[in-house]
Amino acid sequence: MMPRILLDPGLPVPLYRQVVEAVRAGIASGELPAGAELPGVRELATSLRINYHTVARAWQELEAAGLVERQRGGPFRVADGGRDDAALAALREGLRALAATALSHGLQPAEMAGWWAEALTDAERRLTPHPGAEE
Amino acid sequence: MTALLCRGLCVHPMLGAVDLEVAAGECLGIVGPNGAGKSTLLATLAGGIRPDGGTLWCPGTLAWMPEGFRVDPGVPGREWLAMASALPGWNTAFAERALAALPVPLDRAVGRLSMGERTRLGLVVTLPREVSVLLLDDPFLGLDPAAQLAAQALVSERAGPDRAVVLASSDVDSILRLCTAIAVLQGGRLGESQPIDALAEAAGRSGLTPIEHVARLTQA
Repeated sequence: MMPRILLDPGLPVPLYRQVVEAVRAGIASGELPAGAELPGVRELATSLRINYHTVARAWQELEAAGLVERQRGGPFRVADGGRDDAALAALREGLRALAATALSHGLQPAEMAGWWAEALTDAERRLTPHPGAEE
Repeated sequence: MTALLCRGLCVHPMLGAVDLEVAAGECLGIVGPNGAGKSTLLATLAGGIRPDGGTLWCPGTLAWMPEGFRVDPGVPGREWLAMASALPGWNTAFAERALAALPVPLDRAVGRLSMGERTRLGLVVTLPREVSVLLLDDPFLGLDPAAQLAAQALVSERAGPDRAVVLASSDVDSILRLCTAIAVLQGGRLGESQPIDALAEAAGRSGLTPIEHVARLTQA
């Protein structure tokens, strides 16, 4: 299921880029797992009320980044096991900034580690389709 | 493939010669200050006003929605719909969906419709035509919020690969959503069109939102 894409033409970011970022975020959060089918260009353009070229350009960018792929004539699907290096680098930067903020609030490293472990457990639970079931 | 081309088109004594080219699959947004001549330009492209000179080339079919659907005020909407649906290339299935998305009191004379209702009628009789060039003059004028979203979706659906669209509007949000390129009509001159993505990037570089950027471009 395609996550909801919120676009804002009022932002100084081209709409195709906003679509790319929304799909990247969906892949990173696990909402769009490997193999998930992306909607067709015309169909998504109409539901987002944007030009179909904008969606086509977003799909092209995602394909060039190796995040989505398609068989001849088929729909685009989220690529298997692709790690989004750009997104991971940004994530690492974000974590650094977060750690600095936590220290500036007087949080102790051990407490911080506890919060991190808790967040990971929560995220894993949310991403597992059938809690407790082995694959 | 070029769907609409003009070279040195003399639209109005107050306007310079217009050069313009729109290919199938493109949607050109025209913005400009009030009174800049957007409606006059579209009426000329549609053949509703005879130009004083220059070349206008449109090898395919064309449909034009005049601003506020200013047509004979005594005729009820149902008759306009009947006339439009008798034209070649009428897409009945799309027309039914358009009318369901944008309901119009069809039995009322056009002159007794509100501005938003006239815009709805204009869209409902223009969009279903399978033409190669679609000229839309402020197709969101007076629409309520729900109708505006419905109209944006319908225009998006019709702006497909086989059709060229020229969309004049004072609603920059809709232009940014629906167009592939934008051209500014200002001070009697139609500027060169620029890709819509480049516009958002240029706005970002100047520290402006795209709407602020367009407002600055169209300042008299």
